[in-house]
Amino acid sequence: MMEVLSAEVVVIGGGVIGASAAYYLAREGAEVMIVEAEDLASGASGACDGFLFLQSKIPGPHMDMARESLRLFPDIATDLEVDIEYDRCGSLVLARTAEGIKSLKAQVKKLKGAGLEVEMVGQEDLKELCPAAAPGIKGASYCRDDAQVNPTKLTLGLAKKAQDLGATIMINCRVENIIITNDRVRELRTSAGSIHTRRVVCAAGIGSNQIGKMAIIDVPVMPRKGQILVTEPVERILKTIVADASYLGVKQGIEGLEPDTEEARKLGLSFTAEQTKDGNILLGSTREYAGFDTETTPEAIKTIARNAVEFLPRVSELDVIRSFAGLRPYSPDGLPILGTVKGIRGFYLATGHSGDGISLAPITGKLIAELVLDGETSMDISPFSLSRFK
Amino acid sequence: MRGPAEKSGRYKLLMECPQEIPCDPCASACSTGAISLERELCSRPRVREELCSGCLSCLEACPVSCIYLMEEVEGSSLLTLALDRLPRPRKGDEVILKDARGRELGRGRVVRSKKSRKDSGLCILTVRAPSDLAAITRTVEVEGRGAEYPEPEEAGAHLSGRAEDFSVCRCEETSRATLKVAIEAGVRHARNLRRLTRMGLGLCQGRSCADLLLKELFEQAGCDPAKAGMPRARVPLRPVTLRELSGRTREE
Repeated sequence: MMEVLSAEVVVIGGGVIGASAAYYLAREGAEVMIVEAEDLASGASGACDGFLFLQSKIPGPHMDMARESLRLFPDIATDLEVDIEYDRCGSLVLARTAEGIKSLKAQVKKLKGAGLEVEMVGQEDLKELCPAAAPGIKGASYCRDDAQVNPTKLTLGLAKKAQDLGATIMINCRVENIIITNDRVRELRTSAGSIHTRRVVCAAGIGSNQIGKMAIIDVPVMPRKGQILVTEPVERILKTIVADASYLGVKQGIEGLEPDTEEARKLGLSFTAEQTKDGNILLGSTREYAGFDTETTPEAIKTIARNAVEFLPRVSELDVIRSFAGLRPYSPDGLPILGTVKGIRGFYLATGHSGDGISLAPITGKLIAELVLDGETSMDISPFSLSRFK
Repeated sequence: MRGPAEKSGRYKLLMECPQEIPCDPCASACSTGAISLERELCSRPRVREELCSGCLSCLEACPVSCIYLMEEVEGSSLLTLALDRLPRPRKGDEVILKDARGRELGRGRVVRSKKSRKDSGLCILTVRAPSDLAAITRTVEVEGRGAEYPEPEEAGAHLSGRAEDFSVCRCEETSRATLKVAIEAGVRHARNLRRLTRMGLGLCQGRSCADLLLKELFEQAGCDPAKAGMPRARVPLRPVTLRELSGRTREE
């Protein structure tokens, strides 16, 4: 039996972006409904690490958004009933070679120019900040404002709070078509029936391309796979979130910071490590194009393990208990796609966050809520518009 | 009933757990210190038979019924085991003694048969048997009744008899009730259930979680367990150190 439902705003996608948009919309009193094809956090938001990593962002609009987003986290942590394990632990980017240090210094200069509090630290300071780092590491850049969070709990917490504020959450509900008449969104056809609405937010992550097609627009989001290893829980070994300099190289294509082995270059692999509140260490990660495949692969696992042993020798004898892979919604320039779409009133995009969905979720949700309810945003989101790809 | 041991060393305690998995109900149940976990949760239990009082708490507690208690009495052995199959042998029944591979060893007679105090459907059974056979007996079967299939209701009661606070996942201590709430709230994929309840995300990675219970819970909620996509096995299948995964030797 198909019933006819309705909502003021429908958010497609129950990942961190959709949950955050619903949270901010519900806070403003909007009647909002999340439509999720599977379960909450069943895509990238439940298969990633929890880095809130300003150091890795590109100075400019990307960095500005990430910084605004980070400012929202403490309030969210207080507001949600779920413990999102937010910890302002700081971040380190490690460099092993003299060239690495040189490139890192140039990067730090750029970041400082953008107003970020980041500094180079030598081997002495590193002993204090990251006692587990290998003696061969020459230095690191350190950003004290960076933080970590539990991404799954963040997603569930935001969705739960939105629900408490009146939002409806439809899981196992697949969008089959979007009905647009006179250039205006009217209705969603879903596996659970018809939903009448005049405003739709597409926060469907890697499913955004498919959703876009229903509205006859091309949303250039493709899945990019990231593989991660999980160790057994142990006492605190890592005080901060940690990456190696090639992370910046891979992420931003910075010269002199590429991974140093052929294998790693092929997998887009750079080293990241974080210790969760439970004590497990998450080790990452790759950036591969493998369609919608979420298998973990022996090459990636071996290379990640090798990185871990080389950068953090103290973890060598820890047991790995699991590997997993998540598909990041990657956009051609690695930046999110936000805002309205020309020619379709009532259709909003909040997708393509690539590897930054967790850290950008709060600000994305906030701006989307402003855009949907007021028609304007407190930050300029034009650099993220879909039209930049035309 | 067995009272406290009159003299130490009266009982022989056999523990047949071959896997090092996070499991400690036997040690927690033992009040005399006869069973302990030496190093960590994954260690196999260490037994000090001289401290055993024969109280049988460990047999009742063991989730996989792999503990056996032996006592020498008048030239033969009294073997006590936890039987998790139906039908339950009765006092006075002659039973076939079987070894770990199910081969017939000989005959014994039931001197005591009691349903477990816990609501687990287990039967705590004491069998008199020749000493040489008792030591290698791992299960028993009622003569002539072995082929009899238990009534479905009784078999079902056996499974759903598990208490609501029964930890389906022992590593993360996810209870049956927690799983039930999540499934009833609409979770339809086992891997999402895992993410939401942490079931199967601990040290053993679901290797010792009860597939059956999960299946039963999905069925109860009216969804097809086959479509729930039981969490898939992934590398590593059992814990492996980072050094080993990296392909390095200890010296490198």
